[in-house]
Amino acid sequence: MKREELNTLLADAAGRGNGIFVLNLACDDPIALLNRALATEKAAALTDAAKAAAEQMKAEKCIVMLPEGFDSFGIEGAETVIVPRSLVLREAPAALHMLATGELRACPDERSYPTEGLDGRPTVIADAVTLLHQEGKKALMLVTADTRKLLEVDVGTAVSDILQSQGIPHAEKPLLLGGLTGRMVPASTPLTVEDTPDFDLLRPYGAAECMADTAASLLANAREESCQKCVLCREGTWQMAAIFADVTEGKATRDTLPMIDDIGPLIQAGAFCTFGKGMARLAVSILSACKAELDMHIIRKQCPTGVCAAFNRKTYAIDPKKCAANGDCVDECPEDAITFKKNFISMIDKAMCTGCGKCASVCEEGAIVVYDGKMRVPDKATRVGRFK
Amino acid sequence: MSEQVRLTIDGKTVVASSDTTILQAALDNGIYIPHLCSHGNLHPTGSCRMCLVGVEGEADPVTSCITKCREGMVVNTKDELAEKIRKLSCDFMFKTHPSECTGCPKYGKCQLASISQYVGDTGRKLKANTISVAANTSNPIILHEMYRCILCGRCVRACQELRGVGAIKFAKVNGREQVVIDGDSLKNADCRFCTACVEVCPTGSIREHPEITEKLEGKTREEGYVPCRDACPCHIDVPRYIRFINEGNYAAASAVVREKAPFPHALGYICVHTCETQCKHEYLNEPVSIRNLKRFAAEHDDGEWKKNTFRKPESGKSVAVVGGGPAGLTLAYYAAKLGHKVTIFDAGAKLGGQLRYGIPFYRLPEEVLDKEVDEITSDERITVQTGTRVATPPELLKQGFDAVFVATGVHEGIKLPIPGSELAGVIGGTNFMRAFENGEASVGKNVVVLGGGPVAMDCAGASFRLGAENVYMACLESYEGMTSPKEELTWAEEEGIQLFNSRTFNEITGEDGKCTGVKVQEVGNFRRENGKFMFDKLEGTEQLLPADNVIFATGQKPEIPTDGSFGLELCHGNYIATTGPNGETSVQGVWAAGDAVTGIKDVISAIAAARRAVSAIDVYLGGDGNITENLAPVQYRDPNIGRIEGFGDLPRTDPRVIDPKTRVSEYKTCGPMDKGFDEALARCESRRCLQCDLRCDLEPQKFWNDYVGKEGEGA
Repeated sequence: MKREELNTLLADAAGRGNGIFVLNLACDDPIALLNRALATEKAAALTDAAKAAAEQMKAEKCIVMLPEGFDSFGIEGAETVIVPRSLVLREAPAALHMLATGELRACPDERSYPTEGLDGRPTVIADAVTLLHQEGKKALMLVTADTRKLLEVDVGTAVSDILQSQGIPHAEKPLLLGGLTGRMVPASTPLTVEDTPDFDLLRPYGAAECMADTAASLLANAREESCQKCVLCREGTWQMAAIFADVTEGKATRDTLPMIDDIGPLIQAGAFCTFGKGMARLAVSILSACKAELDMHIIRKQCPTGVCAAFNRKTYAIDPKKCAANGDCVDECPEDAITFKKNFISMIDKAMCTGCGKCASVCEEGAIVVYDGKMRVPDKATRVGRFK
Repeated sequence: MSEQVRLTIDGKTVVASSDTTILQAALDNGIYIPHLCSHGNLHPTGSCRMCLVGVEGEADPVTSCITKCREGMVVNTKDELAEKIRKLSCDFMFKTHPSECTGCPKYGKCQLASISQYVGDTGRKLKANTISVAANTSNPIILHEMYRCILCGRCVRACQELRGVGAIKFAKVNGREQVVIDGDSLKNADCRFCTACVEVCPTGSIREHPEITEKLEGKTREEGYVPCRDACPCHIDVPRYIRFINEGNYAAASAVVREKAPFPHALGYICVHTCETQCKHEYLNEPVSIRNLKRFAAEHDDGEWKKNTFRKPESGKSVAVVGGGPAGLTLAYYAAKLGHKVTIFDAGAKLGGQLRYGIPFYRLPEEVLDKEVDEITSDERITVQTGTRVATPPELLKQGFDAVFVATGVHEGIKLPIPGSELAGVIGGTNFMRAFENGEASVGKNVVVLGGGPVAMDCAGASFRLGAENVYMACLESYEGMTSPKEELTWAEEEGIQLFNSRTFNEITGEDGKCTGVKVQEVGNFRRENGKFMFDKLEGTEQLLPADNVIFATGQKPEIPTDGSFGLELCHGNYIATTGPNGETSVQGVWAAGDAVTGIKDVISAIAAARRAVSAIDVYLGGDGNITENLAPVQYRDPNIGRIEGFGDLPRTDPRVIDPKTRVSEYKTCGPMDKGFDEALARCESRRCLQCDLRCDLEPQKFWNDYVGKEGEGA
């Protein structure tokens, strides 16, 4: 919600009297957690802004909705209500329903919010992002595999400049904008910060992060996040999470991902609430932004980053041309995965190898290498020098 | 503020209120939009995504069950994108649902199957995502097979929003949404067992236990869903009067009973309450004490109902009623109201039949009966001739009556033809009871009652009151199989009866022409075959019960002679043969009903038969035969029954019964032994009603062909 829209709601409610102002800090994206960051780092400013808004609408009552596990914020004189954190609560009817019943559900707008809000009283709900919004500025979270940072930048700033100024190495990897209801953007896309919820979060991925694994975990997150009332969101998140999980587990075929292209746009158009529509948009965007890396998993059966354990269970093999059959490796192997017989080429049992690499470190001939799936190795006892 | 708006749905101009949803407007105008989570009695949630439609100017399809009609709206129910989304939603639901349909108890009545038939299958290769949750049959009445659940949420809304109970709810179990009980059992979740959840479930997930479902076979919703009302031969609207009692409007409750039967107070004392035998509260603990509630209501009758009763102008026709028992009095009551002049002939000194002579006054006080009889006979259109036995009822037609109704009952006790049954001191049960009522009976120290039904219980009770020291009761039935109502058996036991179950009677011993005892012998393998009692005598088990008096309570029969003098065709000995469902007899213009037709049965059945007969007689006499009455005020059935802590375990309220010693020794002065309910007890018991009738107020499940059938007819 834009600040001007909020002002209109507040003014309208002020004219009706007996209103309730709700500061909603429970509607965060689970990756961005922007409201939470604002409430932590700009607690004083947020308190002032909330009080000012409550005054603006001549509220008789003030409620702070806090997500479970976050209790370090409060406003004097306001009632604090702890609820499960969910993006579904971004919509006012869902937030009202949560306050009224404790149930998480995206709801039809039956009460003609905000005039008949909680207990039939005019109710205005705003989050920290809206309350602290400044014209021309954008508060956003920059998140990487190991850092989280709340930034305030000028609208129009190039995203590449932000990443550079924050010392994030360029990785030729896609970038996630906005979290679970956002979109995955290919690395090469020039982006400038806009004043939209998509820019609540910048999540550049590093060279070591696997996009198939990322996709699977994003959709698994979305499944958790869904209130699971609407069929398309409940079953859609489940199906799409399962599809991406198949990719990470090497179970996907060329026919697997097109299902997301088939059902994703339908869910985006048909899901009940903005969360359901948003997460479907994300799933579809992942397909195009991460195509090359996903295809590696499906077609080449490889995880380039080595994150997906299913096919990147690293194993070693002994180069039959270099092996001198001296038995050094055999003593070193903690798994007893190496077969040794004097004058015969040593062999590593791939099923038993855990990829610890200890054998390779002791082989003076340098015969032991990470198995690339291509090198031919003997499958039965073969004398040194006889393997062809 | 609602206003009329014009919109276009599939090219058709529709006028609807701005309060109406697009879905409702379409259905009202014969245009079907698939919908599943939507239900006429529940708030819409828009969760099934079946009712999506295209609306001009909207980028995405619109949820028609939650979107109100607006002026100028152009709706396309067959929008391509909307249809694709519907199919996807349907695909999704089927991936969570067992694939076999034919083994499901809801097969053929499943809304999911029906809607998928309409929407069509895409053949998409989605992953199966079934809910692995075991069937829960541990709760009474309602069973859960939630592996069939498609999470439409209708049950949850019905329980939470409509009923205000909240015994079931949504919860995420292992990350997956499910409908669960809010507690470890329905009883502990304070379920009211109203079965609204069962009614609204579109699939086979929430159902009633098979033994309950089976009883619905071939019945309408109104019949099947309200088993007490259905079981009552007169179909008295039991839940309605219990609700009036619960609301404190006792007179209205009595009026409800009067809509179907003219003796609410007497019935309140002695009705065999088949309603209670079918009451679904039985599955929780014990049935609702319906008879005592009826009696309590009748005690508070204020006569207001009389303002609503019908009374047709005089027809100029006359009806003779032979026999002034429950059937005859019922017939007279309605026939007079229908405009006919009625003359009641009765052989006894007073009217009432079995109510007066069969049921002892310590159970049904005479003044209660007198008052209700007088209420009927005070009608100026009714004349009473007591002490008059009509030998040949059809003769009355020749004497100028336009129709004759015969309900002479069964007043002759059957003495089984065993050795000694002719001895002095041996008496038939009904004869004994009549003598008791007339103050003419006496017994010795030891009394043996043969038989185990309700008459036997009264004979035993009367014997105690006449001073018998030992009352033995021998019957063929086992203890569990005894045909008397349970409470009457309990009372007899409290008074000291000594029971000899599973016994046959070999002979009555005697001395000097007077009985001294009964030889009884144990039987095994007791059964009924072709209406006959069959059993094996167990060797070496004969024993002698001492008896100064032996009372045969083994059946009774009409006093009708079999020589043809009665003028009506008889059957099964001397019972009146009827030729039609309303009591038509072999003689045109003569109807018969009651025990003389059916053999000994209950009062409420006799009343029901008389109601059918009076309608038929009225039609015969040129009337419309309609005796339907709305005597009680209109009742608002509040669907929001709310939560009552511990509802499922609320115990059946005991009536106030005088202690056995007092009620036997002071039977002449202590009034009725059962004092029934006072106001507090009645209110307490009325809360226990499951209000099964509320389920009838829910919209019945409809299928697409129910709507499509109407399409084209237009609005």
